Amino acid sequence: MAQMDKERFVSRVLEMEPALYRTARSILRSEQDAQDAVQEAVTQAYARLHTLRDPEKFKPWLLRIAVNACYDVCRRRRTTVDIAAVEETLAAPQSDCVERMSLWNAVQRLPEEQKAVVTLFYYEDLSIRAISEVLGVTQGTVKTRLSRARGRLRRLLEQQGGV
Amino acid sequence: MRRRAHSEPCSVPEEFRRTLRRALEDLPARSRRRLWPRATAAAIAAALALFLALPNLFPQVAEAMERVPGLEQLMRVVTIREWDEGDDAHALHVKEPEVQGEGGAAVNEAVDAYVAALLEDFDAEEGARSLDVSYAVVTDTADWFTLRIDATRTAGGAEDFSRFYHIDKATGERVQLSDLFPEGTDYVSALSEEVRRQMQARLEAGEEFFPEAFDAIDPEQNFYWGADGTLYLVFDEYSVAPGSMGMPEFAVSPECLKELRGE
Repeated sequence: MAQMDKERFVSRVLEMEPALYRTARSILRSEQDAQDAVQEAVTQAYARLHTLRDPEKFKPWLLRIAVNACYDVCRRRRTTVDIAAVEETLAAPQSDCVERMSLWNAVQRLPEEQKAVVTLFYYEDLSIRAISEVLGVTQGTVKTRLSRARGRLRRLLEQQGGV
Repeated sequence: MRRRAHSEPCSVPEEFRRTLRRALEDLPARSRRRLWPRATAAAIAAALALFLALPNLFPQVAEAMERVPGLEQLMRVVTIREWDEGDDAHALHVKEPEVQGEGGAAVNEAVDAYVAALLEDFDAEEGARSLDVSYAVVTDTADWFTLRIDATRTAGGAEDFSRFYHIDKATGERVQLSDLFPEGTDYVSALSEEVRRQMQARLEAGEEFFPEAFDAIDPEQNFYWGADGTLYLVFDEYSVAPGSMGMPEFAVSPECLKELRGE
């Protein structure tokens, strides 16, 4: 199977721009970290393009690489206090995206482990199986996190009068 | 909830868009594999110490690490089976690992099959014999993981051989030699020629080989990455050289590798 050329790769990545942004932000609190992780993910994905056997699976394949890049940032960050991230979190209610998106706002308040699952399921329409592959956890874990997240989201949205 | 997620607009911040476009513009015209993780030898040692020793020696450390979001991606290697059997005629010692983490399942399946085949051969043999199977982690960096299974078989003489299992951590997938090259690349012929060339040069330098016993590398020949990023092809003891040479290794020249990668 012919390998995707740069033009096609760039086009597919740009189609996935919102997905990459949301997924990165579901794992990382800082805008800067999300940018760094996605930048690294895109570079890694391009370098490993030959490992993509089925172009139909480009989206979960790239998201998986992006998720791993985000986790790398988490690992680098975990021993330090990121002032920028704290400031962004404090400033979150005023941010353009959150202000207009009450569901997204609620998603941001979920526990770390549930945010990525909800983002991939509701925003990116990935199946339970695809999510388990992207995040490297079992399908049972995905279902459990999703179920807990649903309950929590409902409560959060009810409290906000957003349901 | 899904309908609502799709109906709510979300503007991707301009800075994020700019960064992504800049990253895409900076990509080379052709995809080139970064085959070796950027970590230095010191980083490899540090990674091994932190990611392997601690979680494996102290279960509470492993559990604590796994509770941190994202750290479940770390490779953790534990011994799942270890047993000895023996009488006057035979001795068996097997220490089998399990790799826990993304991509671990594929490696575990391959290791299981390999150990089962070793045991089957051992059972089928007659006479005095022994088999010792153990493992070692060769590499565990942010990008790459390599596990080596070592076996020593004794039946008259002793024979050592190893198998290497790799995981590309960026994709979380098991990697074999064929995965390093673009589809359709005749890497088998090229690398076989490189091995033949080196074998001849080393023969002339006084080392011993069986050039007539070497036809071509296996498409999934054993390999590992050296600390400096050199690709080493590994052969079983006695397969292409006398036992005194141990398990012969051939370093693939960077030029040869670059050519095969189309760089």
